[in-house]
Amino acid sequence: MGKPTGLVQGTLDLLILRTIQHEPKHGWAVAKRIQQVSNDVLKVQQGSLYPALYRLERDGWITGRWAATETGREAKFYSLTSAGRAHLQREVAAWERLSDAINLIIEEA
Amino acid sequence: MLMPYWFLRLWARLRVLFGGRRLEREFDAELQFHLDQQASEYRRQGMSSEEAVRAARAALGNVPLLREDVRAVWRWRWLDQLLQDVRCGTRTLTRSRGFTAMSVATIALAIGATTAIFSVVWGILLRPLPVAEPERLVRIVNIAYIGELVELRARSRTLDVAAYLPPDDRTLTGFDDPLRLSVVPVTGDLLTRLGRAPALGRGFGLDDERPGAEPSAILSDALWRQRFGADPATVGRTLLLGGVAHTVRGVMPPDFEFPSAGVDLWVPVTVDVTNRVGLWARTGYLVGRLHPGVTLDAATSEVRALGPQFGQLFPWRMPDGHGTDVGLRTWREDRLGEVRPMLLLLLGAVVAVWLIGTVNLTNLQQVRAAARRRELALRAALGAGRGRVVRQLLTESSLLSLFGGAIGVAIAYAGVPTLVALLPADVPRAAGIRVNGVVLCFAAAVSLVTALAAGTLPALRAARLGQNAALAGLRGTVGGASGRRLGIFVTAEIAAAVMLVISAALLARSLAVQVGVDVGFNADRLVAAEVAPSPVRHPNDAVRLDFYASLERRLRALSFVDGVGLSTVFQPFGAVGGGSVFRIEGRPNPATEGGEWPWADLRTAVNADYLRTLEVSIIAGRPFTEADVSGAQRVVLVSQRLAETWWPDGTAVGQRIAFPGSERDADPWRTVVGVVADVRWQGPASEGTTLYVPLAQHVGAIDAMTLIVRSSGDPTLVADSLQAVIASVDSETPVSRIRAVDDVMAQAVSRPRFTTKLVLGFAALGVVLGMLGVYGVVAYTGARQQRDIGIRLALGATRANVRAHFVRQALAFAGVGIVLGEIGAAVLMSSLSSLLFGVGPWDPVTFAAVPALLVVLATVAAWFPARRATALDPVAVLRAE
Repeated sequence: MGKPTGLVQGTLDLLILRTIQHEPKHGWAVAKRIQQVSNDVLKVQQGSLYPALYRLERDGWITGRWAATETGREAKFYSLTSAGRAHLQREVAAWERLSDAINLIIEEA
Repeated sequence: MLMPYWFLRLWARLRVLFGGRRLEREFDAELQFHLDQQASEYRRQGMSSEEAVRAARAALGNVPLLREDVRAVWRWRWLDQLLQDVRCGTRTLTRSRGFTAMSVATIALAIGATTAIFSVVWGILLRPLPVAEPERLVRIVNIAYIGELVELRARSRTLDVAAYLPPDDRTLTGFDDPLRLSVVPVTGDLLTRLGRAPALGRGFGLDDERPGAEPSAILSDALWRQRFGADPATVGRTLLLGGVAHTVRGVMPPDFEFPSAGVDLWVPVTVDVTNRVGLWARTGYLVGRLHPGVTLDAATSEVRALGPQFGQLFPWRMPDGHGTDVGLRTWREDRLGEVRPMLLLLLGAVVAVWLIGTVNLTNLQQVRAAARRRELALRAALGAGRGRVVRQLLTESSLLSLFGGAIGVAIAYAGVPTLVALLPADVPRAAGIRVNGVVLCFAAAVSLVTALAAGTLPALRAARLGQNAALAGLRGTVGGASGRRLGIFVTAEIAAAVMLVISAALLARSLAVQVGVDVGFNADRLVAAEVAPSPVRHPNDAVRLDFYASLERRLRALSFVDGVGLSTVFQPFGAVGGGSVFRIEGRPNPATEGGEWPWADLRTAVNADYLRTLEVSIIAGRPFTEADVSGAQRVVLVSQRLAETWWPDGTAVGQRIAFPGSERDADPWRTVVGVVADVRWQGPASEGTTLYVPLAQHVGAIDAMTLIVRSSGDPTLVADSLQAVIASVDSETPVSRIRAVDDVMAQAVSRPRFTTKLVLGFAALGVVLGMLGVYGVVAYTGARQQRDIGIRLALGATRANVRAHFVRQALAFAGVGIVLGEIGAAVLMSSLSSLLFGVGPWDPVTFAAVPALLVVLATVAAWFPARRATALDPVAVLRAE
């Protein structure tokens, strides 16, 4: 499976789902967006994005479709499926629980 | 895009399967687009074209590696997770040894027993029959005369008809010792109709049936190997069989056991259409092959139309309605219909044991899942979805099942030869029973079914428990009313156990009745042997009678011989044929005037000492004496039931009867001089009506006879002296089948004995497993209700009260199980009632006693864990909360 991304397992999935939550995006745009939003803190190597995208597609959370970009070139655009939307909500909830727990531990320590 | 979730997943998977290349091209295009985008961005930031492309590649990373990763996503995740689960499962299972050992042992026992019985069922019942197109082969039942065979051959448009006769012992001479061989006469076309051919040489043709055809024989593989050293040149040799030279035509393949195992030779039946009496007096077994495209129904209606016409063709008057009940039976039914109930019962019993084992396993896994609540909660908290947890738990139970199944197969492998050795000798096709590929597939399938049946419920429940516990913050007991489901376990186990025990008890009772039946003579210390004086040295009946008389004299002179009997037919519990009709003086002759023929199960010619030797009691009149010789008044003895049926006023002695075929005699009548006890020749269930005539007044040839000796000596010594004495009278007379009569009769009940033994074994196993199950369920419930128990005790309930509550609860579910089990047993045994003798499938004693026994056992099984559950300190329990 994917190489270590320097991220907590499952976090990259969450970021991807979140990124295409409102509009379909192609792979490059997803990568750029993740780097942008995180102010380049999360150094995601661009390539590691693709196995994750394909995994999410296989699991039915997202679906890819070839369409023309603004420049007229064909690119594969990824969008959330309805199952993916539900999955995202669960993932977000789980993430919040986990980060709360970690915060708690850090504060107590 | 509004595609269902499952459809997307399926589509994605199918694309990998069928569109691998397109997928790769697509991925390449996607990467190229990515690189171009990145490069153009770098160019916008001021890099040169070349630099930009290089930097874009660097940012993307190692492309071949990336491609591998993507492929792996598509292909290997399932396998990968499976391996991960297997590793994890193995680790967990090796950590909890007690649980694993208990589960594996249960599965191994259940699957071992099931697989062993299945291999027997497969080998006998399900394996393809060793004939060509068995679905087109039929037995024609309720007509049996050779004349009818000839008529059917001429008239049937739907069937090709062949026949075989019952096995017949003949002497093979020309070797060092004369040898008695089992010979089956067959029509020339029988092998062709069966679709079998000799492995060596050739088969018979219709020409071989003609009177005057050169006598020929086909050897069995066993005879060919044992007597002829498997020499191919045996074909074409001449054998002296019953004093007649037979040419060896061929040798059958080893798997050809027809009509049963142990046949040495097949010879052609002679069908002489000019001999009307021979044609219409001789009976055999008729076999038909349906013409292509003809259905069983069509052929049945044809023979049903033809059958009743045959009655008119006999040279004598046949009973009214002869041939009206003719029918066809499929070959499978004919060969195997008789053993099917026994095998189905064994299969049912072993499935019941398997069921109990599986329920126990479910319970064990449930207990364990509860104990692992914390681990599962942790997994859930770390993001394992419910499906993932279920899959992991199912992998664990599959591991258990496959491991247990493997041990089970080993058990079956070791046990099947023993099982086959235990099989009664008259069970067909026993030689082909083995643990083969089909049996292994069956075992694997049963293992998987076991894994799913026992694992699914606990896994689903555990996954839910885990998630609940995750939300509840890992603490607290998880209560909830699972009592009912556990109760269903108890019900199922008790029901299966009741079915097993009732079946076993009914079989055992019926066996006891069969063994205890009064057969009409004393089989103790009787040794029987077949003697066949050589026809060359004993050309006529007078010489043969002399031979038997001197044999009797010399045997009687031996100190350890208490009596010597001689009989033309002596097959206790194994009689096939030998019955006879007769008519009574002063009553309508059924041959000319119609009406019912009086019938006796057996008619035999015996020496004067026979009845005394066998200890058959004389009820009225006198036994035979040495004075009943050929010139004297012709006499006959009838057995009790015959006397009661035909002379109900008790006047049998002094009446006269005649046998058909003696009409042309000057005086066909024989005087009844005595009434003797019935002897149940055909088995414990037969009526045993018998007619005896003195040997010296026998009509028809006296050829081979059975010699029956009662002696006080050691059976092997007796057998040796028998042979020595016979050799001293005539060295060329073969002696065969020397046997202890009580052994032979024990063999006749060997099938019920075998069935009873096995079902008793399964019942014992089922009861032990079932009670372990009840123990486990109560123990689990007790452990889960510690807090409730604590509260009750704290509120003043006595421990005895709480214990009684548990036992009552278990017994309530057991009660339902008992009712279901009784219904099941009644249904099972009614459908297999042919296995019962002297006991009804609804035998009230059994149906009352077995539940009582199980209630006692279940009470004990519930009481011990209940005591443990209530042995707690209420304060400590409540504090712990």
